[in-house]
Amino acid sequence: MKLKDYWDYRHIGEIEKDGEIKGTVKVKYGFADMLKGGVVMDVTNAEQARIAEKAGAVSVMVLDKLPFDVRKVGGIARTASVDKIREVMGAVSIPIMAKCRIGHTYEAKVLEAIGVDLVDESEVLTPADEERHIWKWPFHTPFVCGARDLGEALRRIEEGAAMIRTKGEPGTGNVAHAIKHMRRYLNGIEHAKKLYENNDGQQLMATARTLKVSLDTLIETCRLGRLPVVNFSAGGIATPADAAEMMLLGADGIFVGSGIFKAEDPENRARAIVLATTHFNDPAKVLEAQEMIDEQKTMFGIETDKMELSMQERGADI
Amino acid sequence: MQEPIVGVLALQGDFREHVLAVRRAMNDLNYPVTLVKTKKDIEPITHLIIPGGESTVMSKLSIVHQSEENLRKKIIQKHSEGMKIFGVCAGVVLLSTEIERQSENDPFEGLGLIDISTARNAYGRQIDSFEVKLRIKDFNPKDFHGVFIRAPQIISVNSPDIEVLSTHRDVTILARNESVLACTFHPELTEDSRIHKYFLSM
Repeated sequence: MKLKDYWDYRHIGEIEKDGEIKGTVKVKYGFADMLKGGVVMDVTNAEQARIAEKAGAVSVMVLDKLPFDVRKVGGIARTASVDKIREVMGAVSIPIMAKCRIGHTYEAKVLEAIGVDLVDESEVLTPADEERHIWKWPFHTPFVCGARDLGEALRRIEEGAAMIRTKGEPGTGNVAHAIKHMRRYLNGIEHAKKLYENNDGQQLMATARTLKVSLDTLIETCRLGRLPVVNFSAGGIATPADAAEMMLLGADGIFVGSGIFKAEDPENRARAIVLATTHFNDPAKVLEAQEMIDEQKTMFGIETDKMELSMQERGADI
Repeated sequence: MQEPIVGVLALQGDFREHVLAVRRAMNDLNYPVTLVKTKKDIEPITHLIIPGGESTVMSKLSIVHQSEENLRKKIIQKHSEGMKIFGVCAGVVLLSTEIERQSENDPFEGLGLIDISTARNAYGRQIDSFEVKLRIKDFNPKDFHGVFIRAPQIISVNSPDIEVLSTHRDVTILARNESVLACTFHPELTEDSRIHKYFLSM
């Protein structure tokens, strides 16, 4: 490979055959675009995947254990079994996502070889590399990564993520951290945009240094007035109102981890969260969604200031 | 010609990209476009776009959680009164009369507004998504940049009233009848607004 090609890294994942080009940035970003307004549900087997699909999930994420159980069990959390992923792929027609460990390039390669539609490089699993995330551009499969603030989000995008989600605090049923992270993106963008509009190049460059991102990426974000890729919300969403709240704050869609299958009313709750996500700007519809669930059956939450493991801090500084 | 009153079905998918594409096609950055979520929204619309996204999700949201007179029925009624419809990717599946490669777990019925048979995700999974240069009948000879994302295929055209406007690998990818335009790729993800212009003049 010529050096010149390597530095054209945004195109390094492309393969051309008979005039068709696969693995392009456009098809990776475009795939994420098609998920917008939808709900991605964590599942651990084919039966849960079928429930999710029937409820109107836009995609399912296959895990070995739900985030709530990862916390409870402890130990090292890794990517799901190949058999399990294949079983879910055979059970439903919607796209399949699966998680790999932060920085574990080979787990991601295996997921790509299985044929999952999107890889989540996730803080829910135990990080495999404490200094690097996966270099995602050479992959043909799109990636989603979690982020707590604008700098983290843009760093992941510069590594090739086609989609960003708030980290929130996974497996807790506490939406507060997802809200905090979404606000940080919004505030970060607003701040940078003001500098951009005032032509304050010096301060904008200083901001890029603080965020540890390139000036180009920051300028693109300012021009767009939003993250340059699709931006979902995840981490602690447990009710239809939680989902609607995140959409109202500007999320393009929702990931629900433990919130559905750790609740005692998964079928109804899954349908209700889909309804509230679509009609987030219509309180009457969100009310209808809230009526479909029973608070007594919501997952038992975890007080985030008393928990031992803060998953959101994993991979955050790099 | 009257100005089209444009709506984009906004239950799920890349509906905002279509709003921008319509504005590019109309040469007006503020051209009004309605996001259609309920049967009330659709009332004044003359041109409806059904965007890409997940067909199972949109199908469900247009039927379930709606009153007796659901959005699905309303789309069929408005179509019979002359509304034009542009289906893109998942939208093509929703508009077709026959759907293959359905999920056994969650099959659904098409709206049956263009007499074609479609197969979902017919090129494969996301890893098989691709870009390719296309030629479109009656368009100026500039190539159209085709973006296919987990695209369906139009596996048969079942009526002489349907005109095939473009094919790729011998498969129909753009076709129309009197009132419906079906496109299995994503013109809204490019800057080229010729297909949207074509639809808005239908």
